Formats: sequence, structure tokens, C-alpha cells
Amino acid sequence: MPESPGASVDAWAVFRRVLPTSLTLAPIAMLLGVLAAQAHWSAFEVFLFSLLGFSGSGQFALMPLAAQDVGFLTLLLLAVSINSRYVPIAFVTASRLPSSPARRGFMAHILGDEAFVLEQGVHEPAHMLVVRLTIYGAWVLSSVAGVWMGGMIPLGLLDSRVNLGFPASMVLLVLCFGQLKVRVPSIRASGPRCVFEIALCVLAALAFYALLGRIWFWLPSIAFSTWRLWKAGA
Amino acid sequence: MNFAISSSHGLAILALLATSLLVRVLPVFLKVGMSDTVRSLLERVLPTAVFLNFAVYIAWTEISTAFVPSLAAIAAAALITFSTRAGLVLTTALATLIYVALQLHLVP
Repeated sequence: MPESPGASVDAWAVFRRVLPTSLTLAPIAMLLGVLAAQAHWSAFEVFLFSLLGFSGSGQFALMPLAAQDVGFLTLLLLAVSINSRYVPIAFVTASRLPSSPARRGFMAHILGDEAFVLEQGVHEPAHMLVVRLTIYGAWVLSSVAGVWMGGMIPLGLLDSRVNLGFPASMVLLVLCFGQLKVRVPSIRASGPRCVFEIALCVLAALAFYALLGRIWFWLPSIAFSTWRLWKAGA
Repeated sequence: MNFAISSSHGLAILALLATSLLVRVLPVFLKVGMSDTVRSLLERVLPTAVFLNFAVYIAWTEISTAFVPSLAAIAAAALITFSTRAGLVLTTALATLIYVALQLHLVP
């Protein structure tokens, strides 16, 4: 969604661009609601959980722990670890956010992975708000809808061989591929050096993942990739 | 609608709210003087690094749970994205179709 300075892209066009992505997230949020209903969460609790928490992986991780009466600090540590990737992401987008503290804080809170990718090239704070709010709204409403559907859909009907989260994973993956397709050609290093550096970053990410696990690998891996891509002239 | 909140559910909600404040809200209020190099690093290099790590994370997570179906679907998504102008929805739908078909075919 590139947007040159002064370009007149209306908010409706931005919304239509973001809507397909938010719709692919709806089944995941509904699944969260269905599982929450089965764990005896009320629709109001799930509404607050998504509205104030807004963290797909964090919500899925904390829900079963809440049932085990795990302490607040443990929940916080786990959630911060899972979501640590947002620190650099939030930092990067800070300069494009509105200066009003309330609006700035709210827009930071509703930042999601998909929104971060989709708002690349979007400079208008109002348009960034449309991107983030569309995804956030879809997530919150779908998770509550899932609670109401929870009583109606026996989980046994769902084919356990198929991962219902796969389409949402594909959406984020395709969005990332799209960004890399645009960004990698601008790396100043020669073709072979560029391929080498990217392969090195991929291997390092896999090594960090294997060594530190899926929760802790983010920050060291992102730091390593940033260092290598910077050296390659990204 | 029932507006009561159980204490354990309330703690989970508070933990995620505190997390959001720490990892998403706090960083956008930090005032850090930045040189041009650091600004360029943050605005151009860091996002590319994040996208690369997202891609590795998603691909590896899916491949490690369903090797052949996920690998085939991800390879198709990569091929379509990098070599055509096909849109997000079409690419995602095709990749998901490949995954579902192979998964249902391979897993009894």
C-alpha cells in the first residue's frame, strides 16, 4: 500500500485493502472464543481479554494457565516473552504516530503483526488507524462471536488433521514475502553476497529458534539479522 | 450478558494489558536522540529483519507440524509471490488448498 507524500488515498480504499487480511484472522479469533467458552470464560471476559490484551499467541498461551491459577508475575513474564517482538516493531512505527498521548497510546496498543506489514508505506496517521483498527476490531468481535458459537459447534466435528490456523499463518507469510520482494532488491551488496547474507540470517534464526525456543529467539535473532543486513547495505 | 469476571480470568486479562503497555505502548513514548545512521537502521534495516524473522518463524512452525503439506504450500506461496503479481487472497487460498489437500491425503 505505498503512499507517496501528498497522495490522496482515501480511508475507504485502505479499509478495503485490509479487510481480506482481517477476515482470514476471524476463524482463529473464533477458535479462541470457542476454546474460551469451553474453559468457562464468559463472552464479556473474552471481550475484555481481546480488547485489553489483543495478542493472538499471548491469549492462546495464557488461557489454559489462567485455569491453573498461575500467579500474575508468571503470566506477565510469559506474555512479555511471547510478545517481545513488538518492542522493535513499536519503536520503528513511533515516528508515524500522532503526537497526542492518548491517540498515540491507543494506536500503539492496537498494533498487530499483520497491521505492521500492511501499513508499510502508509504515512497518514488516519490511514494507519484504519489499518490497525480493522484488524483489531475483527479480532475482538470474532473472538466474542466464537464464545457464542462455542456451545453450538462440537469440536469433534472439526477435522483434527487440518490446522485451522494455517490460512492466517499463510496470510502473514505472504505479506512478509511481499515486503521482502520489494526490500531485498534495494540491498546494495552484490547478488551472491546478498543471497549469502539472507541465507545466513535464515540459518541464524533457525539456530536461535532451536537453542532458545519459539518464545525467546525473537530479539537475538532480529538483532543478528539487522546487523548482517546493515553490513550488506540494506 | 454476564458481566462478572473471575479472579483468574481477570489476572490473565491484566497480565496481557500490562504486556501491551510494556512492549507496544511504552516504546512509542521513549524519547531517544537518533543519528541519521540509527534512524536509517530503524526505518529500513530493522523492518526487513523483522519480516525475514516472521517468515522463518511461520515457515518453520508450520513445517515442523506437517512437513510435506506445509513445505509444498509455502514453496507455492513463495513461488507465486516472488514470480507473479497475484494478490494476497489468491496466493493464500492456493497455498491453503495445497496444504489441506496434501494433509488429508497423507494423514489417515
